[in-house]
Amino acid sequence: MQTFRVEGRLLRILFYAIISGMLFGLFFALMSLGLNLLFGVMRMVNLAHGDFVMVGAFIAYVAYTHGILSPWLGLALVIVILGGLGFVLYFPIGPRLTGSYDPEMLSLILFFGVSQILEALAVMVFGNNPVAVGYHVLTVKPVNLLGQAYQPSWILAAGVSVIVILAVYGYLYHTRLGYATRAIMGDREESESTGINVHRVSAIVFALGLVTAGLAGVLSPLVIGSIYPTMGLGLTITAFAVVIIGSLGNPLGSILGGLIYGISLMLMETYLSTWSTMVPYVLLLLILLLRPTGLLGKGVRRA
Amino acid sequence: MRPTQPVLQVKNLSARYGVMQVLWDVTLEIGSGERVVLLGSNGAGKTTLLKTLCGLVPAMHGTILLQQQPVDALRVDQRIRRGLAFVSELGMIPTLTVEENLVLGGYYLSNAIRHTRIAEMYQKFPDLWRQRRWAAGSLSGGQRKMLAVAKALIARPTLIIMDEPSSGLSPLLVQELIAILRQLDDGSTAFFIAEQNIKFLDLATRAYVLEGGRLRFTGTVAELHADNTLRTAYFGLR
Ligand SMILES: Nc1ncnc2c1ncn2[C@@H]1O[C@H](COP(=O)(O)OP(=O)(O)O)[C@@H](O)[C@H]1O
Ligand SMILES: [Mg+2]
Repeated sequence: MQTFRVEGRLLRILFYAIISGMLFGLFFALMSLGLNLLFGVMRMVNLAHGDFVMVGAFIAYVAYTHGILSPWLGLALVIVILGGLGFVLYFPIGPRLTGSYDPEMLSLILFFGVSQILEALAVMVFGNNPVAVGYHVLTVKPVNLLGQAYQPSWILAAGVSVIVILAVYGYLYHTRLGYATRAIMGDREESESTGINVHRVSAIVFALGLVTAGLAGVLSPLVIGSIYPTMGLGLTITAFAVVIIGSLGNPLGSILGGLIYGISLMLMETYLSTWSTMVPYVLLLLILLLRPTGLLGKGVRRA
Repeated sequence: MRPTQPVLQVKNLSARYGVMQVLWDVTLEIGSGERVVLLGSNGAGKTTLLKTLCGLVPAMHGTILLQQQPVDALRVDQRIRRGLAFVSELGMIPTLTVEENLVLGGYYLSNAIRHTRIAEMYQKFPDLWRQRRWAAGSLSGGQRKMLAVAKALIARPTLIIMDEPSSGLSPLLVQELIAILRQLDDGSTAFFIAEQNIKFLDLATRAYVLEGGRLRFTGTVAELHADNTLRTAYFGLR
């Protein structure tokens, strides 16, 4: 009788770790999606990816300090601001990078600079200390499911993430522009031969990459707590881990990578919490050793 | 025999990769609805010439008129919107499905027109209909060429430029492809086909021969057959 009850409790905790890991993982899938899109379409290694997440978070913070207690305004602002910025920013840098001898290495260096600039600007405007974005949903009572309590904020973040991810998939697999985008991922030169305006499509994808990062930033107070100008670096590393687990250059891989990351993290937090910060690095190492192309990889990295 | 209304006029076109020039002063003309073959051995510069016409390789100097309009300053996609279609050796995007490739072929058409045109192509090429949801890269060599041709036809271009359509095809499939291309002859689309395979001359009225980046011969297919040195070079192998 006694062992039965213990096992039941363990199972419930396992169930909790998996469900919350999935909620968490969906957020990280969104957080890393843009990194994957940029690499897939432009062979850009965006070292500033996490900093665009940070920018999104501070856009939400500004909205919050103006008394907006829900994330919706932040989400809308990010779409306008980072979308516009991305589209405009592409043209001075994108064609030069993709036309260069080694776009991956060059973009790495360039975006390292962008990362430093964004961080410095954020420190100048918002100071060095972490700030909280007190969305109303953070104060809502946990939701009960099979005897375990789940944070409504996580459910909201996961829900918005799912919607955005589905929208990106709708774009990629059900629109003409999405076909063009996937064509460029598959074969850039052939896409040009076909008559696709490669730079226009790339600019749109660049904007989309920044927007998805920024949206994750707006949601980040719901999932990872307070925000600060130097939060970007850690997020960039996590995003790289997620993207490489799934496979670099394949946006589907981000979802798989996000879920695997989220669930592993929650299992570690549940059973071995002191080790949990190592999860992204351990997963990254395991994947690189066992399956360097990622779980869904088909040798994308050969390029 | 000179084409009455040229769809393509090229004057003194030269091109290079970096510092290496591979095309010298190419001058040619294609009439509307005309079928012209560009013969040349490996490395002669055929692909480079075609890519320069499309804007995939920048021209060093020279002029290109498409339907009497200069297109030198236009991007590839702009030239394609002006009635050009380019069928590269690959001819399609392997990672997209057959249908998605056809959509790309009619990228700049309205949704309704694209829809009807794709349906027409499925009627013409029932294999493509059966495999419309397959990745183009999983098709057989012959089916890939059909897809490439169908994709190029969707926008009803005035000029289709094809790069070595016979590459990767068995002799039997080459015959089949030639038969298909002959059937498509409705006089409204001009074809400019770069080939090493002289069987394609059966399709054409005129030919150019490219050697070492320069035009070596310009004339009718009959004149080409009559040229002694070229005959040994190209037809000796027959
Ligand atoms: N991307 C390139 N960079 C440098 N040289 C090239 C490139 N493509 C082709 N060449 C060179 O240009 C010449 C012509 O090549 P190409 O146009 O492909 O000939 P063909 O299609 O007739 O076989 C060859 O000497 C080839 O080595
Ligand atoms: Mg060639």
